[in-house]
Amino acid sequence: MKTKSDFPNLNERKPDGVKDDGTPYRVLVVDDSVFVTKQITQILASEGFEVVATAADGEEALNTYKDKYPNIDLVTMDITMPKMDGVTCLEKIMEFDKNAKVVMISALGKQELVKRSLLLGAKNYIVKPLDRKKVLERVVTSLE
Amino acid sequence: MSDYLDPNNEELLKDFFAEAQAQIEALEQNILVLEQDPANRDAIDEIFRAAHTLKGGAGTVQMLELAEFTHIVEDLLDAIRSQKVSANPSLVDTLLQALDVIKDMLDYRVEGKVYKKDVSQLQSQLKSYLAAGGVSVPRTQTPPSPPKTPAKHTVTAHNAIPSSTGGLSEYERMELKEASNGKKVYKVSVHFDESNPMNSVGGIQVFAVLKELGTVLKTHPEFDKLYEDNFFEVVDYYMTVDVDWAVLDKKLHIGDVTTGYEILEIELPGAPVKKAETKAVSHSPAAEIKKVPTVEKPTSTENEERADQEASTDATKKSASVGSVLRVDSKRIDNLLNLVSETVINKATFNQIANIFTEGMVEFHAQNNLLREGLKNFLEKIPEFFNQMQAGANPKDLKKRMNDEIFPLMKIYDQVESKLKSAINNFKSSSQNLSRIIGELHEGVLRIRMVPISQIFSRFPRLVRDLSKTLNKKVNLILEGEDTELDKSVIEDLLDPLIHIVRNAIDHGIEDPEYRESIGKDEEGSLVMSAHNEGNMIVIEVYDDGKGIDVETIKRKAVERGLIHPTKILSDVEAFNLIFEPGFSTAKTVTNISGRGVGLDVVRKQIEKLNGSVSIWSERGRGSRFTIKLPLTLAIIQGLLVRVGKEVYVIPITSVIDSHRILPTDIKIIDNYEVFNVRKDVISLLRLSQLFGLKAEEGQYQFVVVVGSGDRKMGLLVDSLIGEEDVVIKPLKDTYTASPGIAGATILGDGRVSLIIDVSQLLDLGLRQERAIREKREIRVR
Repeated sequence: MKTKSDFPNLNERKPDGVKDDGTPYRVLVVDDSVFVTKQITQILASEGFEVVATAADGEEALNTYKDKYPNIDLVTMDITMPKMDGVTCLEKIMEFDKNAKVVMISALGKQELVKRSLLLGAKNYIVKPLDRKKVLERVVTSLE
Repeated sequence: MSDYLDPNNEELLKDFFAEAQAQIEALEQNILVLEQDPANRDAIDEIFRAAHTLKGGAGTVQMLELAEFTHIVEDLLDAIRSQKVSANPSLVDTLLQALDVIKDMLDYRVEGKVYKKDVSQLQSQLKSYLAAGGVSVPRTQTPPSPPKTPAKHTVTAHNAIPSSTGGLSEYERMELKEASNGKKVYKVSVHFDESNPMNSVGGIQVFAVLKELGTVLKTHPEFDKLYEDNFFEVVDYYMTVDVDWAVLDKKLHIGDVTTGYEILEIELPGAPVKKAETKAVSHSPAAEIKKVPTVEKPTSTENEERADQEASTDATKKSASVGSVLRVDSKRIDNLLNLVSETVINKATFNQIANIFTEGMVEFHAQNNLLREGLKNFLEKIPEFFNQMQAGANPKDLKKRMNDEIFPLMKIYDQVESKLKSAINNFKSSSQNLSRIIGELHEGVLRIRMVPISQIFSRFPRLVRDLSKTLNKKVNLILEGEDTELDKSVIEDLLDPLIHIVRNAIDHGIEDPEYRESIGKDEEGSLVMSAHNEGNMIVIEVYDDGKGIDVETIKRKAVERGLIHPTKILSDVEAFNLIFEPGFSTAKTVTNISGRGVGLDVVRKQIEKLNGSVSIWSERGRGSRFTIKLPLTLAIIQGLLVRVGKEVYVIPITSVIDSHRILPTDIKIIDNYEVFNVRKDVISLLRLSQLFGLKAEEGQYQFVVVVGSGDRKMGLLVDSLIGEEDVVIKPLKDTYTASPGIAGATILGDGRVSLIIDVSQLLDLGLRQERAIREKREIRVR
């Protein structure tokens, strides 16, 4: 069995998804598309983030957030969803916790909603189709 | 220019001149610092700020020649700041020359004239430095660098943020000023990446980021436009910033969204700030900033001239009414108001006491009437008593009855008495209170006129620098106690004497660097100017570590000039003080700086005019020290009240050395002079009664007040000493000022007018007489 000492990682780097204390950032992924949810989960997990919950619509997301509060460090929020859309959900979450860190996931052509979200307190936005590098970059800057 | 800043507004002009003076001082000080330490960033920034403020101010009051000239200076300063030109000595010289021109321009304006001298040579000299430094004005562009590297964002310090009007109209800037709540407003111009798939979001995204870091007051294009689905390559955010530039820098770097930004401080109207050039902080070639001129210049020289002339006539009209302005800390005024309100309360107390007295008087009258009536009754009863006595009544019994009649009459005033007693006590304490308040009020009013001595000290670094350069000496000037406060009028009259003393110290005192080194002294001579309070006096000292004063040379010179008799034996102090005599100069050659014979005697005159004294102490080879003592204020002095005949005179206590009670037989005659001995000294006497033509009283004792300054002493013979008192000096009208020996008049507590004796004049008088007599005698001897 190969151990770390056999192949020392010369460029050892703390993964972006891990806090200074060694525990991972806890993420709530909100998207009505299972495919996108999985994609985001994979991308985040690859950098050490821990997706602690997922939600398929705004209402569920809001309840989950409240349930787990304060054990969620970041939310990725799809904009178009059934029951409660992402922007409304964002608004509610911000009302509940003004320090919430939410990154919007938007399809092209929803500029207006993205702008509204940013003004409501979203930290950043990611445009679909998702690109691993960009997702990570924006999630990381949102956590600062 | 704008219509709400009237360039002929008197208040505005006053403020401008006051501020300009401050800026010039700041400029001068910091240029000198720069000379010592060419890399001093703080000094450079400060110079910059001062020059820029000056330029902005000049523009506001339409002093275009000033604004234009300062502008050129500013360009050069900017080059220094951005390290494109280094501050070498010749550059510093040029800067100082330019500063002198600026001063002249201001002086002309103060007098309501316009500076018309040709400054083109100096201008081209200034510009030549720019050219030599390879600087083109305006700004060279920051070389483009690849995006996405936060390190390429230059984190600028707060004090290095450039400023300008930001291309905004006066009205827009007014709006910003209103909205900013007094904070500085910055224009953050952010460049966006067009290749971003949702590039129209950037403007809002940055807005959302910025509003966390301060208050965004305005955007260009406007917020509504940003919200619509449009892409703008550059968006300007006008905002106040509550965080460090580092934070702002970090937050403004958004991957794929922004490509770079510039920050510019907006000059708000009424508060000109910093400088007028932009500093691009960018990582994209898109950042090209054009300089925004703050001063609108007329297009042709003809226009310019006309504008100048107009300004000139207007200014002339105004300048007559622009008096001297005193800036007073508002706390001092508040304190005065407070005291005034206390006196008002005190007045009420006095009113009350007056009422009690009136009541007491009424009561007294009533009781008095009762007493009279009682006495009348009693007197009426006396025959009855007699009858009873004759009828053989018991005398004891009778006495008791009489007592009973009188006893109530004896107690009749008791009540009034106790009432008046308490009223008197009340009166006494109120009056004490009042004198305390008046004392404080007095001090408070005096303090209004007090200004820190730094107002004149600050001129010396430049003076010393110029002097030492001309004389090829190295001098390190140290200023101490610059916060010491002095009456404004005193400070104004103090400048010339101080300049004189400092010139003397550098010219005659401090040796050449080579010589200093050869005798083991530090190559650089030091000159200290210090000020501090001593009781109610201010002591200003100027001392150097130069060669000191050669007593022998002084004696020789004094004999040569006939100031002293060759046989006279002088103490060192007496010798030092000879240099204050008119026509005395020990310099071997006449230099441009000092040694023209008009010298320290003027200094002494000036200081004595201020009721002060000046003395000197020196140690050969070690240096010399000038000590000036001045009263805190001119208006009030402590005086010794003396009586001569029926008149009361005041002798300023500062010149009183001591006083003696003597018998007429203690007065001796030497050389037709009345003298008397105090310990080992022989002091000549001056009878004030003779001087002022009064009839002296022939008492058993006489009193001598020994007065003097430095080594000069004289005894004033008076009839009696009354005491010490603070007296307010009232100047005498012109017709009476010719009377020798009188400095002014004052009104005493009892309303009498008393004359104040001018001791230095009396001393001169005595000395002159002595010299005249000696000369006469010398002629006779020949």
